[in-house]
Amino acid sequence: MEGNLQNLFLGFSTVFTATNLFYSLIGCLIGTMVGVLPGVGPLAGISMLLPTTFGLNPASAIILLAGIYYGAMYGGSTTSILMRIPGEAASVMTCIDGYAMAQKGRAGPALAIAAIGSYIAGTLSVVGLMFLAPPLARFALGFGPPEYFCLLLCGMVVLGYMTGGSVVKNLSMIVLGLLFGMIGIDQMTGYFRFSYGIVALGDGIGIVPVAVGLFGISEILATAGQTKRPVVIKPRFRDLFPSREELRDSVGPIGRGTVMGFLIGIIPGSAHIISTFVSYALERRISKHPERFGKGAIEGVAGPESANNAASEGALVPMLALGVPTGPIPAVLLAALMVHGINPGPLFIKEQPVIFWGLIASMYVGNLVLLLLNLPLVSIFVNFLRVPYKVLYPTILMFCVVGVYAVNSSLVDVGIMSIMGLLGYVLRKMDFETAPMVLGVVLAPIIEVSFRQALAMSNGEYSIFVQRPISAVFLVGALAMILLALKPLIMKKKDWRERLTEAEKSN
Amino acid sequence: MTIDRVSGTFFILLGLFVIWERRVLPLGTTGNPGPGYFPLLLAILLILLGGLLVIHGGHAIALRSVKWPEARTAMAILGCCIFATLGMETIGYRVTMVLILGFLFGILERLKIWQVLALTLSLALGSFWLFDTFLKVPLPRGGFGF
Amino acid sequence: MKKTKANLLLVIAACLGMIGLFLATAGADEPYPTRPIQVFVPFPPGGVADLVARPFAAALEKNLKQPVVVVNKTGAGGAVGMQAAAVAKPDGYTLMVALSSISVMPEVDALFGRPSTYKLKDFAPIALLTADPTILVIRKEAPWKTVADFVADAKKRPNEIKYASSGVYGTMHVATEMFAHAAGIKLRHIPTAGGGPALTALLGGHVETIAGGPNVSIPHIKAGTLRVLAGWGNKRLASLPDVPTLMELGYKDVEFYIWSGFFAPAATPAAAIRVLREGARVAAASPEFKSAMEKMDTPIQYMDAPDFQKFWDQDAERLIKAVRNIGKVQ
Repeated sequence: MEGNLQNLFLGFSTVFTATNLFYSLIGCLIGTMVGVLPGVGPLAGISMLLPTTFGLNPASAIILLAGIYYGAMYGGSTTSILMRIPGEAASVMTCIDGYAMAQKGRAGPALAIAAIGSYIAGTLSVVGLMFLAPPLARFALGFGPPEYFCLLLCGMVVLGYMTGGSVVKNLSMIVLGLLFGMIGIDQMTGYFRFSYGIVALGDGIGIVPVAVGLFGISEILATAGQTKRPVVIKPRFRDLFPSREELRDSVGPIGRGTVMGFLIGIIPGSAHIISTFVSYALERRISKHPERFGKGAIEGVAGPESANNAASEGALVPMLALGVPTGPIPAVLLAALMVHGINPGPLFIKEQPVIFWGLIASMYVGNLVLLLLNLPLVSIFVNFLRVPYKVLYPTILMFCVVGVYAVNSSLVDVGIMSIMGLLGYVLRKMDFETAPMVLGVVLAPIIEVSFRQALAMSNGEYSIFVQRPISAVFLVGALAMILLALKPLIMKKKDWRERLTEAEKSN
Repeated sequence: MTIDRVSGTFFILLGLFVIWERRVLPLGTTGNPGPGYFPLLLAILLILLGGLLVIHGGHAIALRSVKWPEARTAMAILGCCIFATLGMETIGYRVTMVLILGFLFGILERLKIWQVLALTLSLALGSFWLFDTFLKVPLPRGGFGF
Repeated sequence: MKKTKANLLLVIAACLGMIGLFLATAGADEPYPTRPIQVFVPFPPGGVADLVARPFAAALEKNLKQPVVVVNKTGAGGAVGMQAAAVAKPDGYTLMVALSSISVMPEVDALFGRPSTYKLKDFAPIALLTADPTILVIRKEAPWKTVADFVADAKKRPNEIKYASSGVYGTMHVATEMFAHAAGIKLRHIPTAGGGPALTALLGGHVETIAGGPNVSIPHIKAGTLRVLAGWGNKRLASLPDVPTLMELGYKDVEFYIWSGFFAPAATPAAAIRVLREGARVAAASPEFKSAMEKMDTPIQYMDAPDFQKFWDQDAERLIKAVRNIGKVQ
């Protein structure tokens, strides 16, 4: 503890220099902007600025890039809440209840709670990062393919509770998403699946075009031509602040979202978006009024937003403690350090205390800066809703197109976005909830590959899933949850979900 | 003909299509699943779910009652997206955006001509500057070099 | 009043005249390059190709006096970017930095009976930039002390020792199979999504070895969590002088480099290529590029176009043979 405090002091002294404060601020600003722009996400922002960091000293470089990374998680919720367009892929879940709140005139509180939740999650995660990095990282390394598969299986079962409506319809959305996720090169054998000669489909259809298309474009398609525009209640100044009730309701989701997001984030290879889905599903499951979800429940914003901020910082744990990248963004951060001749490895924290503790301190500062930045901006952003829709939607359309294109300089992505937009439009008319499909697209490659890798490791023996302790635990958990869900069927009592659907219908 | 029956049928057809398409992919064994294994599993699952939808779909809303008032506008907007997909690299980002925005503001939304010009030019050129110059993401310049 | 108007007209005419003259002469001279140059990198930012390409582009920019912009065109293990470069206009303004996997992909396409996305002949090599051999990395708890131990153990339990790779037919896969074929052993292959996940799998103990890139493995070797048994180069690595090469140990023709090279579409005019070759030579020798590569523990192995073409042909032959030996993975 002593040593940690001393080091923290060292870190703060590194951060509170004019240059590093400046870079932290710039990083947060660019991160917020990149998060707000649909399609363009933190990866694009970091890649863009990577060359400029070559000339800086390593501490400043990593402070700048990390600022972009978690700053984007703050900005991503803005367009999700105001326009139902995910600012970046992990913000998809915020679109559902956030936008519903905006339509009720509660956009201000939604934005505010998103910012507050992100701040608390971000700061608590830094504490976790600070104290627990090495042991957590070692634990995370123990996650191999079998553990991964069982974990995701568990997650999928939890997600069965994710949205209301017919179980069959939700399941078919997940399966449809999983099928779309199968497009591309099969990682295990090199076969091209369903790509029809278009090389760009070799990597599969990306999550960004799918998320922006299914949510953003379909929203535009559905609303633009309506003669009776949905009346958006213009918020008054008083309405910009969350009510006491809303704040109280958010405490639990923020706490749970933080813990869950952080734990999911440290696992190498997990996508942040998974933490938001799980948080949403969890909040819905334990809520006393699950029928509010989907119609503007503040828990549906507080939980996922905290989760994705916590996950983004959790992802830094293995990278900093062991030099192991958990995903593409930490990989770029690693590269940024390598370019300066610093090789993150197990000795990184010991050998480069200036950089490590400087980064930790900058994250405390950065999160605070972002909170102070985003809260006043709430009133400005909310005024976007005042712009007449007929001017707004072509602008949004343009940003969606250029944002999706910018991710990979690929027009194929724009095409996928358009097709997904059409699909989302038709599905909404047919009364399907599109969020599970996004999850399917994200999970499909990971689940399948983990399963086949696990079997490759055991040479075909299925027992590997129960032989290893962590995966056995998850497997048992998944089975337990499935049984719990099936219990009412066996007991012939009405499932809480059926009661719920009936309650919704009678409303 | 309810919406559930329609979507159920669609899923069944899609499942069959996937099964047909995956015949080139080896299945492997249960101990060593090949690339065709999971798609087959998912396709079967989709067909089952589609079947359930069709069977129980009787009490859903009738297809006829689903209103599509915004369909024409939606198709026009979709057309713009497809136009961007096909043409942006050939004629350049700025020209494409000017055309699309001009179409949306001017023809679909019938704004005044000076509003159309102001919005179109400022958005197209502004976003180009934001991405290409400021964020250094190269946007296509098209055959005219513009 | 008339005089000022006349004066104004005169000034405008003079300006126009000067502009015209300027344009005419500029057009007449037309030394290459006159516009910004794009360098496609078929791999994501932060990867090996990207980290070599960016300092190189910066150094090249100084020499050619035109902006040299790196464009990441990722997808399909590099195939998307390579195809884009192959079909780009061969006017010298679209170039590419690619890795040794360029030689492998058309062969894999042929193996699966699908039309190849590009052919090796579509590219004119300009310069070789780096050539890191892979190294055989194991965990510190592993029982083997030398390659001989490893091979003996593998012969005793065929298909039991697991190794991870960055993907099917990727660099780590081909390198390991090349060695396994020469040593007559059978190892179990666990493909992962990339170099990072493969290293993670080794660190977590889920596999027993990988054929890793030196620059990402060395920090762990120095920290003691990993050990290295041998290298795939034709000489020992400067950063690991005690590590023997597989060729030294008797495995002939087992050479594998994760090299990065600078290419142009084959039909690029010869004048442009000459300028690029010279520019690459100067850039590769520049202090900024040298220090950037040193910081990343990636030694520069510069070769000019004719030598590079020979190196590429030989390397491609080896890789194609290895891929054919692997055949279709079931």
